[in-house]
Amino acid sequence: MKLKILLVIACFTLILSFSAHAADLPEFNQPVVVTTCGQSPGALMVKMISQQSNIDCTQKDLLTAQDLKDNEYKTLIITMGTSGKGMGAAGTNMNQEEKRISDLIKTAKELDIKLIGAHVEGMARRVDENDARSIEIVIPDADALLIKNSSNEDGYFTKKSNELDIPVVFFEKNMDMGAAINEFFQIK
Amino acid sequence: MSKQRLNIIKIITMILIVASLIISGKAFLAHRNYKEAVVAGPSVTEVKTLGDYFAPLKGSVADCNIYILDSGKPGGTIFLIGGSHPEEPATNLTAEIFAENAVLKQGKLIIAIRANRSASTVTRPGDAYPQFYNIKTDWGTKKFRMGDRWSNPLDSWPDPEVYVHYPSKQMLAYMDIRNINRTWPGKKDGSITEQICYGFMNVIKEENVDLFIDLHEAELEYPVISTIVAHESGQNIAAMASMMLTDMEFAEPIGIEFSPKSLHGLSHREIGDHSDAVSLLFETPEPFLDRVRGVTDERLLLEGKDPFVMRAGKFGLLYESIDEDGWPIDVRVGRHCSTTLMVSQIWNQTNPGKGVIIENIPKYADVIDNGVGHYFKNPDEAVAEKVFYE
Ligand SMILES: [Zn+2]
Repeated sequence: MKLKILLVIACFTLILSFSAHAADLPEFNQPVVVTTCGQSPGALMVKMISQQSNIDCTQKDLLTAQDLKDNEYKTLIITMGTSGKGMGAAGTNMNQEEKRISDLIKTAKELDIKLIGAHVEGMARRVDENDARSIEIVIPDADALLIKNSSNEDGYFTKKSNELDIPVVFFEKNMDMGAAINEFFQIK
Repeated sequence: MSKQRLNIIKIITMILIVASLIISGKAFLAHRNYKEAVVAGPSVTEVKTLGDYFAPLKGSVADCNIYILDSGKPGGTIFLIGGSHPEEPATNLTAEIFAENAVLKQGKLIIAIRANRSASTVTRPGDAYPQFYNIKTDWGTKKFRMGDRWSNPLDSWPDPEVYVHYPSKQMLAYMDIRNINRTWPGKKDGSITEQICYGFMNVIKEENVDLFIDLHEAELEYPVISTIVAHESGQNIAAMASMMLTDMEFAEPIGIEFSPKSLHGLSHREIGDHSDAVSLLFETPEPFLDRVRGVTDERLLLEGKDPFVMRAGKFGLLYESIDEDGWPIDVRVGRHCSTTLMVSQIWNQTNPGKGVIIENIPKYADVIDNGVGHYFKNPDEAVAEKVFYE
């Protein structure tokens, strides 16, 4: 019985948390391409969860502006937060990442591809200067944000979204991320 | 000072030096020869040693036990190793829990508890490391050898000026020729540590290992912590496991990191590159390893509480959080147990026909509730054929 009550409360909180800013969300369409600004595994997580939610989502950690031109993507998701090991694995660095992502954002605007900035890995990806830089590169041009509550422990993303007037969808647990992503694509 | 007095002082000094040499020498010898009894669990069908897979190591200090748990039901094979770095106790303790308790329902599980035996026969006296640590069990106290990150210089000396990794030819720090996580995939005629990795690669190939798991612990000052490091081939499993564990089991999240392609000698890189096995490495936090730590004793090793490390956290110098509760050994072993179980479950879901079903292993919450020691069997009560020594 206790468990049932807990479940009901949990569901209720979930619904509340998704709908918080959803009303302001612009319309996003598929197919989706996800990349990372700083080579953290966030993009991989977004892809796996999106695919589970039957969203047409491709992951390209080193996505280029040319890729955007060559394909018919309608939405670009860029995950924020960096990984030194990841950049090492991909043979890149923060300066190159800044250049790549800035080009991507510029091309996305030209091609009318909508941009979602995502921070889905918690405070562990908000530790150093690179993490902060990757957020600053992406946020100002985002049409909306997808943020894990544990990435927003200090209220940074709440503040930013108010400041820049960008709608944001928060989610609590990783397994809630699917429902949160569905909000963007109006899937119930 | 008269000549006679000077001679007396010289003689006393010499006696003191010889006495301390004898006392410390005896302590070092006792540590090197101390054996940990392991009671082979219900599913252990065979206990080989590394020398069975690479003959030159047979009977050597590096000849660790290889526990084989075969369900008899066809499936996949997982290879779990602890004690790569014997100064990281949660790793060998976790591997030992699996060896003593696991019940295999499908497939095969292979376990090495003391992957680098040589490194477990030496500590870091200059860093004031304790020689042993003691874990309370339901039947008394179980004593373990504390070890070092590097193989014993007694077994591998001298170090080269620069260590050139084989086969990549990458130049690494000289002492890392004794670091098992810089010598993968090993070298047949190399240093003892390179030979250990060569032996393990033989295990992986001969036993057709599908999934390899290397357990580690890290200092909180190091960015690769509380995470699963994954070779390309294991990224999806690692991502899914980290999300599920963070959601469902752990109080503090576990992340995932991609294995750098150009950083050589590491298990998560070389095993994936040089065999058919998917390679993953798990990290838990061990405040004992932090350079800013205070008193370096058994208590810090097992309780993971340190005011200086906490202070470093207040200054934003750490990559993992720490409070008054510290990072006790039960939490760290619990994380390794649950991560291994979760990874194996996801492996099973994504590799039908190659399943490895492991039961009777405590999860994170169980280890915290009951303590690590609860899962160790009493060797005095076990039949002699079931007892093996590490
Ligand atoms: Zn280690």
